[in-house]
Amino acid sequence: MFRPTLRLLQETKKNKAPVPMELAPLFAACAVAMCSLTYFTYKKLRYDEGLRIINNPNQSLLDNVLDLDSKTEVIDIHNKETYQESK
Amino acid sequence: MSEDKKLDWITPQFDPRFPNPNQTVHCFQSYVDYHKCINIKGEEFAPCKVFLRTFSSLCPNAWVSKWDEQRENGIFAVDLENFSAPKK
Repeated sequence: MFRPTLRLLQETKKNKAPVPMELAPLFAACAVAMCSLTYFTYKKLRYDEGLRIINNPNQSLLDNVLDLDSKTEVIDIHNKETYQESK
Repeated sequence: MSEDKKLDWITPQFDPRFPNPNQTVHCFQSYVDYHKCINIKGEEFAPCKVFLRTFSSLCPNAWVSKWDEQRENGIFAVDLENFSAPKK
């Protein structure tokens, strides 16, 4: 039976085409693109409160005002410094 | 100008829940919140007026009158009587 010699095995290894160095920037750019894809997709799915995948998100701010005093005027609901006592 | 007059005519402030130029959802959410609020606390409850001012400013009058009519007929899309706190 034919058995490859050590020299033949070495030759086959040598003929294997190496990755050309000039493609390194392309690989780096692809890596950056893949990382940003993963990061921004995760951020969107995890933290976007207005995302409508299954049903409409509950965006009510009713809780912010129900506990207030009945005479408090609310100017900007997100800014508690604008809450003031009405006359 | 008196302070009361200022409060009546104040423009709704920027709301980070609705950052887009299209304020339709902001208008509808404020309308729903106002009517839930007065159903719970009554019309004299001053903090509810922030929602009234918002939807009065953002919503077209035709929409508001249409929704008012739907509420009177009991066919409004949202149940305004039963308030459930949002899940956090």
